[in-house]
Amino acid sequence: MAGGKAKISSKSKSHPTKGKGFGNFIYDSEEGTCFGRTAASWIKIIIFYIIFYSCLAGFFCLNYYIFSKTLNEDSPKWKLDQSIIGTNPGVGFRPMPDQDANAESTLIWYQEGVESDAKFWWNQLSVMLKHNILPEGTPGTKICNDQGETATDSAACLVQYSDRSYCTETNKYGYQPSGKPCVLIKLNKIFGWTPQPFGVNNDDKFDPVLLQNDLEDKVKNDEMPGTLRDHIWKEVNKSSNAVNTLKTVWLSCSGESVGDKENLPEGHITYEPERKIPGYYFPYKNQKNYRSPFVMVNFDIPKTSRHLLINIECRAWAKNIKYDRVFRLGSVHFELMVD
Amino acid sequence: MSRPPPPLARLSKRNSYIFENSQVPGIVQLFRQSSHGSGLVAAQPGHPTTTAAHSRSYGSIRSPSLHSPAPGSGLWSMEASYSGSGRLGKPKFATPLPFTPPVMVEKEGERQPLLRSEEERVVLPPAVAKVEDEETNLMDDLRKELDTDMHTIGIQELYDRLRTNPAMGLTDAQAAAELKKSGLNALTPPEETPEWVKFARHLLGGFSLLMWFGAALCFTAFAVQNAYMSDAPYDYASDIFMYLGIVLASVVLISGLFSYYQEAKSDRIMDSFKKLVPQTAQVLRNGELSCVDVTDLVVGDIVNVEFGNRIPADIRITETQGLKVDNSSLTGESEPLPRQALYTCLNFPYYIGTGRGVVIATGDRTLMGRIAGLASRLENTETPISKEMDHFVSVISGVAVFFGVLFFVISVAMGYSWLDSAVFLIGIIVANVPEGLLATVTVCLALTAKRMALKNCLVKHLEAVETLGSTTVICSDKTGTLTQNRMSVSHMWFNGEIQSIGAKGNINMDDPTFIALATVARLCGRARFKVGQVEVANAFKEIEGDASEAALLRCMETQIGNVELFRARHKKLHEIPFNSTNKFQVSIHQYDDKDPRLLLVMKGAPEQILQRCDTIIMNGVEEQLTDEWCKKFDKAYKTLGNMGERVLGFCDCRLPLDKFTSHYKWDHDNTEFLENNFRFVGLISLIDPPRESVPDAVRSCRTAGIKVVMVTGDHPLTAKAIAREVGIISPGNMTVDEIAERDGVSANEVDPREAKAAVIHGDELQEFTAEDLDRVLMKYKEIVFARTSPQQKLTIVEGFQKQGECVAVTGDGVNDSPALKKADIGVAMGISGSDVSKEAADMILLDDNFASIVTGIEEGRLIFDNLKKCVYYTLTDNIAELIPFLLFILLRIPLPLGTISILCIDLGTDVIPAISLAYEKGELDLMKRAPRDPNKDKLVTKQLIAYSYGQIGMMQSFAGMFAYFVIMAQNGYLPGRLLGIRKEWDSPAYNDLEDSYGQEWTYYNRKQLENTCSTAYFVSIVVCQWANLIISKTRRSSVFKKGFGNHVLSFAIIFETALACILCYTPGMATALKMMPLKAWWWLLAVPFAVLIFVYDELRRLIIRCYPGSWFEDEFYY
Repeated sequence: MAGGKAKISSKSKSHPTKGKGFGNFIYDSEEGTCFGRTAASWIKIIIFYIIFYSCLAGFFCLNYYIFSKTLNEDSPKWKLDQSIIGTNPGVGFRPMPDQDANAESTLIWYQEGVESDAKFWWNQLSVMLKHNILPEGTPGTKICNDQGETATDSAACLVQYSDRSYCTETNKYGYQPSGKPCVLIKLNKIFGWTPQPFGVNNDDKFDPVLLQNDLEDKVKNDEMPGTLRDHIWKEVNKSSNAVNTLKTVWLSCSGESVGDKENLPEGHITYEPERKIPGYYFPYKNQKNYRSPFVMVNFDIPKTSRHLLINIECRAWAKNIKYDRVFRLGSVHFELMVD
Repeated sequence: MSRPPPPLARLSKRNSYIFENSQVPGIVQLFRQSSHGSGLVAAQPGHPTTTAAHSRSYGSIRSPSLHSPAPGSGLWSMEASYSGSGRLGKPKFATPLPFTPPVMVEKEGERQPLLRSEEERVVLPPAVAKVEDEETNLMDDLRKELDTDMHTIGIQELYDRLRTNPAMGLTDAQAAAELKKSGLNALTPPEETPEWVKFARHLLGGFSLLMWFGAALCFTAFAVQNAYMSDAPYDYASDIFMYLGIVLASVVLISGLFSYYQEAKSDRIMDSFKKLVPQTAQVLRNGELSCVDVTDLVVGDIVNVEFGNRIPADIRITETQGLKVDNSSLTGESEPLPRQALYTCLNFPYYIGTGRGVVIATGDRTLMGRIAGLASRLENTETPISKEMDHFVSVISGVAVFFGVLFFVISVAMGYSWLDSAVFLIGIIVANVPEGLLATVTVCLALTAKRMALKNCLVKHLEAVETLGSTTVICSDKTGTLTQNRMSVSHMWFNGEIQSIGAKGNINMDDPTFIALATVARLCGRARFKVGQVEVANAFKEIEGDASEAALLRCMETQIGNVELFRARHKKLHEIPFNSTNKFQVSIHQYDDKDPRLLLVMKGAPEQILQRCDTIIMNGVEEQLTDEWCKKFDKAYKTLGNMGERVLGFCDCRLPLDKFTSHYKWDHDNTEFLENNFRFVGLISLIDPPRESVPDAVRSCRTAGIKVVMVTGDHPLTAKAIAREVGIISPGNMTVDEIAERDGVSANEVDPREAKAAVIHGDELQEFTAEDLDRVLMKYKEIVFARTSPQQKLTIVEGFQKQGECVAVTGDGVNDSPALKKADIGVAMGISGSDVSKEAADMILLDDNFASIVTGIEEGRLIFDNLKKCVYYTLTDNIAELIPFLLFILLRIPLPLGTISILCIDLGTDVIPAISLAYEKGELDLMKRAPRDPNKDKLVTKQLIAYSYGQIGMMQSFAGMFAYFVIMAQNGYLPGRLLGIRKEWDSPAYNDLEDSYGQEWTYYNRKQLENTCSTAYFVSIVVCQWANLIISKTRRSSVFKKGFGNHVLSFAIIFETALACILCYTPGMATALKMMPLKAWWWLLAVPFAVLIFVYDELRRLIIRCYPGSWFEDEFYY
């Protein structure tokens, strides 16, 4: 009856506007429209959007131009605590694995005796050294020392590295042929940052009790290796200017876990030229020709630890360097594996 | 009354019996236990009591051949009469039934509208089958059951068949067995979708699938990274995947839960309607009367029905004392009807009298059960707003997938790894999907629903909130929706003039004729006010008694007052109540005036009354009733009848003192006092008047471009009269018949184009083909359908829907329920509505007032507009969320806006402002524009997408990128340095990445910087969204003109900002949401862009206003 019919026909009801199909939407020959617009309509709308976006981009650039006037060419707008970079420098290492092949990898891994393998690694160090060690007399540089010659706003300290060190190109930085790879460790540059020394009081005087307290505190709370503590005392004792000796960033590298420490005992780790980055390099003020000071750390992998992946953590030590393993604050992590 | 009879041929073709009459003495009782207790006898089979018809065919009984009426069967007698036209007529052609002379019936002064025959109603259920052709078995089943002759067979035979006994009832064992066999006497509730299915739908609907896909990608990426890069000790990135995956999954779960909860909440409101107090019925079992739960009734039970009860099932009345039943729910008639066999009365309160009957059908097999079944088998139509939302979801999903795939391909082509590309894909999906929007829309709808509930529109499904706004046609039931479902006096005829009765005061109270009429009206009646209503205004006092008498009483009380006192003063000595043979009502009073003679007052069908009169009172003077007077009487009677009113005649006489004194021994069998000559005093006509607010409401609908159509089961004349009164047929427009009458030609000769209005009878409709219906629906602007069956109501609704109309149906009866269900939005009446109709409806008018629909329409249109704004507002920042990703991929810069920040916007800061737009007031006059065209006026148009994505969204992106570059530069990374830096930037292996000033950044510091930039970008979006929210307030007029009266919106801006602050500055957010505290003035970075957005949009709206219809408006007005 009527009801049934009505229902059926209401189902088959067609909308005149629909049912043309997607093909017709792309190009409708009747209406001459392509994607629902005629050529003229397309041109109009495209011109509108070209003008619109040009104006918008112009507005953006104007804003940015005005803003850029507030920036300084030589120093960042915000420094230290005001900037997000903060006052806690991180630590960097070289050589780095090939990031294209192994993104986010920090594994230094080579086969002993395979030249091409080793060269990939020591070549990086070679390049790095060439870049970082400038010849004496380079404009805007000077030679600094413990005796009070420090970096100024205009002159940066030259990075000095003795050719007599083990970690040189001559030795292929320990990668070839022996299994004693060198890893370059450096402190991140932070504009205006200087290390706070251990054991120096507010009057800029050496205070052994303070040093004792500072170091014990670090040993107790921050796992400062005892060897470093001893090393600092030794350095202080033999130095003529304890304050300048202490104004430095100390370094320590060690296996990360107990197992790693077993695989690579502390005695197998040596530092060149010194186990510290001297304080006269600081502060970094974006001086022209400022080059990062560094420490070469040599890992003498025991024969028994070949083919083992050893996690290594290198840490920088100063009173104002905080440490957090997860966030890699004041430290760097990498792995070594020698086959 | 002057309607031409239908062509005989047509009628006979239909195998119909025509009684040209309408004076059916309704009260014919099928089986009346004689008062002398001599057992059941078939009462005068009253069929032929149907007499003069005043219209063409409503007296006809359409009977399908499968049950031809058995002559003598009581069934026909149940034809009630429409006595409003009281003209006597002759049978059009011979009927097979014995014809008794027409008698004027005035049963207890009650109007008895002409019912469609019971037969017709019984025919209905096959229509059920029609609708679902697939269910042929069911159809057969229904047909078989229809063949019932339970109403026609002898009563003893019925008892035998049901194995019951009128004196003993069923035994408990029988009852139990029957109950087991046929189930509870309750309507099978519509099939419930299991809760978990509902929940699953929410989890998989909308954007959920896309989000699940994103989450799955996250987990895959996490797994892949863990499997292949386990050598990286602190796998910063893969944790993010895990985190993001969990966040995405929880977002889907939570928004799924939310909308499920919303739905469950509105379901619960409905459940409260369903829970009726358990009813009991008095049943005769084992020879004893006992109270039994209605649900336990079985076929064959003998039940007692009493005043105020609901009829518990389909019963056949075997005994009755003035039993009247309100069947309006089934038929659309306004009045309680004297009943014999009762169909389906599960929930009908019945009015007066008592009776006893035998149950002949229970539960779903009752007539009501069948109609309810028809309704529940109809599919729910999809609401316009859900269509819009589906369209919207598919557009946005399409865009998301398009961008996702495009950039997946681009990134793979650019040499990114598969994993990276997958990550980009996740980001793009997250950026593109407005996660919070669907929940926002739900809240907006819920808010509107709440607001509407306060205005007495209860919405059952949230989505139905908007439907009224899209409605183009309203099919309204008459009784109880347009009218008050309460008879009241509308006109009086005395002194040869028709007086309309309105409020007190328009009648000269001192007119002696009026006093005479009022005296009769006051004395001759049994209705009385229920006690304890002293404080209640007259109009609202509850009255005991039938509708017509109540109307008279109320009228008299209002016009004169103190009716009870008046009655007490003039003591009633004797009365003859209305009954089926007399058709009038008489009472004799000791009238308290100087004249010692007793006063006899009488009322009844006008012809009956007039017959008995010799004189007529005119301006207080008694005159001879001449032919001239008779003509005047006829004319007045006809006029009133044409107005669809029910007319009562009144007369009185002073009984001669010699014979009748107060000591006269009154005897029921002695009616010699009727031998006197009476004095005619006047006519009073009654109608179920339209509700006061309805005409305005109909007018509002008209101005809003909505067609209002009346679809009623009531009589055409009544329907037309009410339609005219409420404006469904406007004053100037005439129907074909009216034109014919005016021009004095037959209806066939009238040019149909001249007629703008039409009153279509159910019988005509029956003959219509689908094309005929289409033509009629299209041609006439003003249509009234009368005498329609539930199935026809359905057909009409479908007819409109076929033409692409969005149909609202209002109704209260069971007979409306299929149409309510089929309609795009069914509106049931909260007070008078039957449960079945409420079940089938989408919306319930708590005050039963048609005018509330106008509120609904306005709110519906408003919410559509506001949802559009809401969607626009929410979509705008989508592009600002997407652009960072594109730049990240294409320029290889650090990610300017993190995925978590995107979620913070979509699910955090954006939500409340978007919701606040639901509180916006209408922009243009909502009720003065045409309903939206569902094919053109989409919720999401290409203009909206182009404007929000292409323009405002881009401005926000620029604002965000500006903040990003500024913060990067201030911290050391100038824009030039950032290009191409992505790989080192994102690699934890680089613990010493140099910036433009030679500083070296650890991975941790870089990520903090990146997160700070992302936070700044986020804040920039928030700032731009301030402006965007303000411009969203209006689509055309100026914001300044619109004003800032929306305090929720103002609050939303504050809230949004506060939330952004909390996200920024709460300690711990850096780890939880990667939100970093910002320097205060970084908040200002986006301000120039926000101002630009505001100015640009004001400009756009100015151009649109200045150049309506221009290319600019075409492209940029959403």
